[in-house]
Amino acid sequence: MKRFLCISLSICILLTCTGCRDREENDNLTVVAGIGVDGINGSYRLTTETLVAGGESEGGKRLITKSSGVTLNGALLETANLTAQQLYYTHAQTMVVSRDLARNGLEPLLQALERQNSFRLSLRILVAQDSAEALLSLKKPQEDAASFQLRSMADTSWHNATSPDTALYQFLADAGEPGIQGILPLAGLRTEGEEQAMEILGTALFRDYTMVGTLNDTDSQALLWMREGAAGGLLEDQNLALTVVRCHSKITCAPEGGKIKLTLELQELEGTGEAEDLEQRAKELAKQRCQRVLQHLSELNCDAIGLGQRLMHMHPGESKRVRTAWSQQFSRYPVDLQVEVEIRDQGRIKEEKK
Amino acid sequence: MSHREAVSASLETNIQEMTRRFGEDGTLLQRQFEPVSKRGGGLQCCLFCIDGMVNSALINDSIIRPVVLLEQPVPEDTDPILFLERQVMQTNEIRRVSKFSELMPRLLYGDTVVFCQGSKQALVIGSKGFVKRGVTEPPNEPYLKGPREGFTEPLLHNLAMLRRKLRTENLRYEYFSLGDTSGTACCLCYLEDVVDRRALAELRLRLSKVRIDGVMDSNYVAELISDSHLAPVRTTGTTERPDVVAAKLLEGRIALVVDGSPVVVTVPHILLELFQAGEDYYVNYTFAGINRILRIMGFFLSISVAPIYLALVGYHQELLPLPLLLSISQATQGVPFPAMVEVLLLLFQFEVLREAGSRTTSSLGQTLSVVGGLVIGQSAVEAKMVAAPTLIIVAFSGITGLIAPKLKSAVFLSRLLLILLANFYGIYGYFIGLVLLLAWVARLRSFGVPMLSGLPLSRKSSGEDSYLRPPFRMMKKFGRFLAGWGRSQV
Repeated sequence: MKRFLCISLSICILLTCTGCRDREENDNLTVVAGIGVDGINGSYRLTTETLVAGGESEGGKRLITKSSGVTLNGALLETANLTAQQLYYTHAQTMVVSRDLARNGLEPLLQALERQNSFRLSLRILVAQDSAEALLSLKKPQEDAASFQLRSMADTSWHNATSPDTALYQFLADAGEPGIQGILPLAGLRTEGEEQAMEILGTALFRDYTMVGTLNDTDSQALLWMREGAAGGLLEDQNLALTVVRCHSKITCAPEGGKIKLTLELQELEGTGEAEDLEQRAKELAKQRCQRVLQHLSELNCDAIGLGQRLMHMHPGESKRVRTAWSQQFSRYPVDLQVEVEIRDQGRIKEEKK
Repeated sequence: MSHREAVSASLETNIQEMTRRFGEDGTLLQRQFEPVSKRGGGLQCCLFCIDGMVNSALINDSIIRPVVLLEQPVPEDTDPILFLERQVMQTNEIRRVSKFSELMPRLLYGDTVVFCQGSKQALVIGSKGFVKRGVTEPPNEPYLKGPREGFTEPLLHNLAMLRRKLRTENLRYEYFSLGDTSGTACCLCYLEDVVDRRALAELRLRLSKVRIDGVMDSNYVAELISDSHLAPVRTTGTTERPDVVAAKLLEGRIALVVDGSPVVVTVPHILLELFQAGEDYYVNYTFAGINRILRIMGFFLSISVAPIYLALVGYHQELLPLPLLLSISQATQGVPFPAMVEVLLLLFQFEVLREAGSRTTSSLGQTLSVVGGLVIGQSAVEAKMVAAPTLIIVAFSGITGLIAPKLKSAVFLSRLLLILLANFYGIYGYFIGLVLLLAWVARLRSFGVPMLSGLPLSRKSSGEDSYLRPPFRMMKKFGRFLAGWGRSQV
């Protein structure tokens, strides 16, 4: 009997850890697809894209709610009041921040977001060329959610190495880690006749949490080759169009202020071009683009490639230098860039018809 | 009114005693007869039998005819009954009794009783001839391959079927009767050399304590001797197939055959047996293994799908993919009941249809399933009484529950418990329920043998023939791990 009572009591105590008060019938829930944040006069302007079951669209009815607050929590609370529904943020896939807000620094916003346990850390972050509100409000109510489309576009762009696809946890890790800076995809609006459409423009470069510059899609390819060894991207010239199928980026560093050697191996290229000196021309083209990006990063004092991190990993003695003022020192560090290009199955490369 | 116990030497007294015992019972047949020839003179007999339970041809040809045509006198100094038994009666099953209490049960079970003037004994002659059901395939355990015969109601027929399967002198039959009024004949069967002796002793002890007026089916006994009356799973096995019982006897188990029941009880009974089917051993082992895994999965799906659905839609929406979440939300729009009420309503409907289907003829059963499954389900969804996803979940849960029919009641109760826990405490409650059920089953024993025996849970257990049926050439123990033989030899 004593044993039975002990077991029963233990179970009762355990069961109080959860309970029916957490229960929510899912037809009362409003699923948030994504949010956009603009900074206006020191406060946040929040654009929330929600999906409500019951619309004509397969994904539910799409609603845009606009609210504002001095803090993110205040803006979220106002959104909940305006919609009069239980907002469900766990399935939110995208957060768009405006360029102005990014230039002023994302640290307070992202840390508030990190503390909000209702968002997933896999939430994708994008920087809007103009305002986040304009991007999310662009689509008509019956169309699919803009947040989902932005997420798909960022994903596709990353596969083509034309922009990064950065989750919240990745950006927070990069921004908090010495020797590497965070990068985010840059999205904007393109005018097609009388209509506007969303597009991924390239990469937004950050120093810590503050946006310091941008790269177009071509330069983004070179950055992603060097930073992540990302496959994809196009080496394009007047007589050359090669897709990078495999890429390998290797960074070696000499100690005590020596050179940083960055070896980039572009392998298994396929496409069209004149067979003569194809590898050499591709190599020169790739090197030229990488050097341009390195130059740009030096000017911005933004180590988006992660050279400092690599230096610190290989030579722990250098970590003090990297941790203290790497952004200033990065531009003065000599980088020996070597690009290797290997075109496999050259017989498959076709010359363009003249 | 007290009855006479001893058989009298007076034929008239015995006839009066029988008449007094049966009163106006019209089924009691009485026939007095004696030799025609003077040479057989002095012998006066009277037989009693129950109309409809005897083989009349046997009585006429082998009992009455030899006496009537007898041309030999009863030797002096010889009991006439002994003379009849040794030199006159032409039947194989015959015995002498001297008490009415001994002859009455046999008379009532189709034997013929012969009294003789001048003898204080009576002859009980086997003449059973009542109508019996033919040997057919058990409808609840159909096989695609394997033996087609199933047990029937008469005890002796069932024992004969077993004897045919196991032609060894080690096969032991222990007869006894249960039921103070019904006096139902029962028989314990086991193989002397492999039986689990502790289980046998325990079974005998429990049977000796059984007190009941009548035993109509083996389940009466199974319930009275079971280890736990509240257990979610049975601690005694049942089957209607002689091949299954024979195989279990070979594994060291004990079978309890009850007269009048085609269902034989086997003990000890372990959890694995609920997922095994006799057919597993008659088909290719790979196919048998897949089937067995399907049964195990079917059981867990059956008790888990509905609770997990309730936990996901009520508490853990983040675990659902967004398109599915939106689809479920869309479907539940306008439905007035919470998800748990929908699930319970549909499960109730499913159980009602199952019960109704099993009590009606097969043609009506099909109509019931069409009306119940398609018409009512579809109409309920269209009328927004229940959501379509809930209907799908309950239908899946119900169908998977039919994969292992031996676990029907266990599935029903476990599912109900888990549904309640999952609805009030989410996935946490579901897992607590699952752990509780597992702990309960782990604590259960069947005649001293743990219910979880045979599972590969420890180094001592090889897990042979558990989740999969290995090829016969790879089997070392052939299920004898729980038998006395297994304990001493392995």
